[in-house]
Amino acid sequence: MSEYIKKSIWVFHLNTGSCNACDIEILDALTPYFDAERLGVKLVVSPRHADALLLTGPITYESLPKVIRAIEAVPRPRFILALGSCAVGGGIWHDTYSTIGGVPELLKILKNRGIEVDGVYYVPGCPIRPEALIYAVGILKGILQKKVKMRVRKAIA
Amino acid sequence: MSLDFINAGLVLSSITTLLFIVPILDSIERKVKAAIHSRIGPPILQTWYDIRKLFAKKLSVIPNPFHVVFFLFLYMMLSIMSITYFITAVLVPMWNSIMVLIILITILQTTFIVLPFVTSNPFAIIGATREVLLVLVNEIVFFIAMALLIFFSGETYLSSLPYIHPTPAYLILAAILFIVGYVSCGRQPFDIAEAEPEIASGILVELTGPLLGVFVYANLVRRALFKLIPVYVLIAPFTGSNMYALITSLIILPILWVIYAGLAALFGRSRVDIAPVSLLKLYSILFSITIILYLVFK
Repeated sequence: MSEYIKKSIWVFHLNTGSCNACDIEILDALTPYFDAERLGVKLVVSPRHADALLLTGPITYESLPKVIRAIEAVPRPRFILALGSCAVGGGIWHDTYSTIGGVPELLKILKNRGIEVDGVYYVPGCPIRPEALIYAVGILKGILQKKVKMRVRKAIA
Repeated sequence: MSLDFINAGLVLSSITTLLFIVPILDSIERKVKAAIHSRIGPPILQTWYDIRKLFAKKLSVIPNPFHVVFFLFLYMMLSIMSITYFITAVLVPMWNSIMVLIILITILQTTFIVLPFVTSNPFAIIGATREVLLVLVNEIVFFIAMALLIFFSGETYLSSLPYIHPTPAYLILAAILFIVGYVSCGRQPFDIAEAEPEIASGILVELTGPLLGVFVYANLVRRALFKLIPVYVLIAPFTGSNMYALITSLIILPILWVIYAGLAALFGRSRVDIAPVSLLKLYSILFSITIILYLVFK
């Protein structure tokens, strides 16, 4: 990854139908208590200015077109931080009629449309802990190592 | 008068140093804010890292790209040119330098207003409309204040200000220029053009990657210019030499930057919708005091 991105990570918060628990934890991680700014993290309000998307929720079909447009608007190199069990693999909604089942399914759709994502970082938890989000930023910056290997299995029908 | 070697060296070193330290001043502001929050805060070069990162991003195609790029680079060139002209005019006597500075700043502010309009984004246009309203109040006051400065001091040279006698009316005028500088920097509650959470960065919304990097840097240079002018006007009559006045102004600049940041934190919860009206009332009172003081101490 580019050294330039590592020192300055501008994030955009993208809710794709989450229950808001992860969103509250994101706000918590960006408060002065956790001081994400010391790692170069800054919250921006437009995906055009962002480097990484803080994606929460299992991605509902209703939100899918907007999510794709938001990801397209992020100039490359672009990264996704999949936050919470829902974003990581669909969570309790992994096989329901109204959601696509998290970021792994989204990546397939993006690939079919020719939209490239330069890196995806999975942060499991229901909801995630603010420390876990900062850990993911540490991995993105290359100062920490991944803890576990992520593997998603579809439910057997 | 021709430039001698000392002046030429001072002009070059001042401009180069300023253009390099302006993003660092922004980082210092962020560091001070972090200290108030009892946190570590970003590194001292964080704003440089941000700008460098933006230049490393891919350039996306934006609506109306020719006009946007034209006005953006005009804005950056004018910011750098204005600050260069200001420093040169302080050290070297230039005919009507105050008026030339007013003209340069007028073109600079106009470019800043036009830029979001040409992006054709509704959020950007809302932000630009708000900026126009603010500029109507603020810039006109700036012109009047500079005109009164020429009238009170009897000088059109920036380099002659150290040799005038400071009167109470002159000092109130300098205070007006400090307020104009604060408003022109786009700090709270006068950041209604950007209005980050409300209209998604407003004037900045269409800019991305290197274009945003150019805008961020030009904006920081503009902020430095609007801080240097009032500091120089206030300091100059007390120093007695234009060289000392410039050096003192450059030393005070980071302190003023931090003071403005502190004021912005205090005004964080003030009402944005009544900001231009309150500003107009404040300016009216200060101008009345200036003119009364001038007539009394004439």
